[in-house]
Amino acid sequence: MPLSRRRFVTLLGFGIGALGLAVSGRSARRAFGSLRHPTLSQTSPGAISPDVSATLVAMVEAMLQTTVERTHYASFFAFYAEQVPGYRSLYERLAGAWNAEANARARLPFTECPVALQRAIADAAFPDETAIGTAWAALTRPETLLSARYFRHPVVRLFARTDALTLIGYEDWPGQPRLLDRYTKPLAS
Amino acid sequence: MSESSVAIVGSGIAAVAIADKLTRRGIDVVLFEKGPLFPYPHAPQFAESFLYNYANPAYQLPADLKHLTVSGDYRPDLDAERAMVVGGSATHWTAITPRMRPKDFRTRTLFGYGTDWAIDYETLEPYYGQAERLIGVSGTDDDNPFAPFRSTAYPLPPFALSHDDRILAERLESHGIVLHTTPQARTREAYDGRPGCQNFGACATCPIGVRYSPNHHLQRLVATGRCQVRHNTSVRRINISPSGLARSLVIRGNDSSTDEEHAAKLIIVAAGALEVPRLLLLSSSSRHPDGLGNESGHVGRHLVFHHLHVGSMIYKDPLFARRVGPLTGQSDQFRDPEGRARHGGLKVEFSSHYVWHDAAIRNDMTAKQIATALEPMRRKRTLVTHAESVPDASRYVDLSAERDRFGDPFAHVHYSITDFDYRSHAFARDVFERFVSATKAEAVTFEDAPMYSSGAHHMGTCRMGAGIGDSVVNSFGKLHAIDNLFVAGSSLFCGCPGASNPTLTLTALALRTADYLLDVTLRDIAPAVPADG
Repeated sequence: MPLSRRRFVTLLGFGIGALGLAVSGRSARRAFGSLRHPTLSQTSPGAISPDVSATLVAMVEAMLQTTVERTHYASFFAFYAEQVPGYRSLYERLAGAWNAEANARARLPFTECPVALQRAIADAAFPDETAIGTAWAALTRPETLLSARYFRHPVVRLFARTDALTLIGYEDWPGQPRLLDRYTKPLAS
Repeated sequence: MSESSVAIVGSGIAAVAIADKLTRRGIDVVLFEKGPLFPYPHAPQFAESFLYNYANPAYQLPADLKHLTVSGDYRPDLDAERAMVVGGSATHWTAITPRMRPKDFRTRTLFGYGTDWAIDYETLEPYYGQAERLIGVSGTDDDNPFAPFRSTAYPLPPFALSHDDRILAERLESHGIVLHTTPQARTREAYDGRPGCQNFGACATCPIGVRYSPNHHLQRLVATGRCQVRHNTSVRRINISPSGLARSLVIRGNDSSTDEEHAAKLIIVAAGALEVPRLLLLSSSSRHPDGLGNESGHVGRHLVFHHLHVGSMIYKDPLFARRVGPLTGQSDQFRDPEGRARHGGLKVEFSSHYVWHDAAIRNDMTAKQIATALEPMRRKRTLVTHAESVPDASRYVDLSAERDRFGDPFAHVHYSITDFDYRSHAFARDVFERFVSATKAEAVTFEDAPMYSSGAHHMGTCRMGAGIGDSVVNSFGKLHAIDNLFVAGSSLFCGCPGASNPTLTLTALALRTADYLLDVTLRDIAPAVPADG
């Protein structure tokens, strides 16, 4: 059956529309994907100040709701700040934001706030990490996804591989010289 | 054109074992390594990878230099199983060092599968001892009734069974299963300039050199002035002279735009079982149109992996595995089982490497939630079964359609599971269930046959044999038709070394090759008295 001019134009219109929707959908998904998975800017590495380091470590304790071996985390942050582009400026920005929040709420630096207030600030500093929560954060507070990806996630993984082991009953965690005189015996406790 | 008496392609454990013997006799050796320097002791890498969870890009080659294509049904990332750095893959290995058993060399004759090796246990046995002394193996056969004959003692005492292994060993013993200590290239005590183990538990990048790394010897070799390592340098071809001998290597700095030539009296290719055939195939010419050593089409054939499966067991009471880095308990009881012929042999090891419950951790957890998620780890053990496999027409290495930054084809690997593997897996599952029953495990899982991993044990591809018709090299690694071109490493294997981890065997073979070179090929230039006394 020959195609009428009118029918041809209609079909062409639908085709172009569908193509446009697909392309814009892909672009939107790509743009949204980059919001959900932000990357660090490549600013130069360098040392962070003791105040910044202390603020980061205090946030670790607030976020995990426990005390940790502080030097362990301080050296972790120092390594990334000094060796990997982007981390120094991220850490300085995060510490600045958390201190500003603490100052606004209690006129104190974050490290000197009561534990309850530190935990409240921690709660607000990171997104809800469910799929919906992440999508919402991508639209409303994209900066929290950056802090989640480059601060909270690595810290949680580090804690799970180290300090958490002592929490569940091990005498120490791998990565330290534990010597060979104990592993053949039952745990002391 | 640069030159040396000996040129070795690769800088891993086989290359280093040979270079060590040759330089001691005053022979100059140059090793060519495609990858970057890898500092030793590996303290910086330990800090980065273990303490900071950071993959340093300085130790990774870009994808246009390190890559391979894969077809078949092998699921893990095969390319990631190879470490292309100075020191090779043994900079990262688990360092478990069992010997092959005498029957493993004769599986065709005794069991009707695979190929008999062109060497037997008795011939290789002295070199096993040399290899154990070279890399510092801690072990004992006193508790292992299945160990093969040895003429020399282990150089170091064993790592005793961990507390949790001992509990399980007692339960197994009452069911007729022997769990014994594990020979391994970790220094239980100070040895040859390496300290005694301090149990960091991060053995993949031991920060103090307890776990053997080829770089331990490589540093010493370089210090003699008779050995050079040219890192970040790709070897593209082997040139053959009109007389039919290997003449030189065509090399290129990874960031260079021009080739160079390096001449040598003797060339050894020791770049791993996936790269060795690639280089021989890339070196085709009018005289060798199908590649070097490939007169009867055996280059790249006979590829085989071990088939590793992981079983996990949860117990009622806490065992607290992973309080020690080295693996301590394993069993050789099933390496030569009654049903061998229908299926292969099996090595069984209690591993702590898989007890971490990382997958249970969510990124938004508090410390308390993390502890709850990790709790099963206290009661968990994993059993890793190493099943012997056999070469098959469905397993080979050839050249890929994809090319590297210089325009040379990458290696292409085709590998598929066989009926033999399904039967070996069924045997492994039976053994696993015996362990489960004997040790009173509660919740258990065991990987299905198609979920195998190679354990980074890539073997075959330039197998040894009697002549050109059945193989690429002789038992010394010499190409049948080229008197000054050798292959070293697991590429020589005639299939699996039984269920044994391959590294001790390939090191022993390399040491034997070195003796042959000194006695025969390099006789005219090797001083009679060792240069180092």
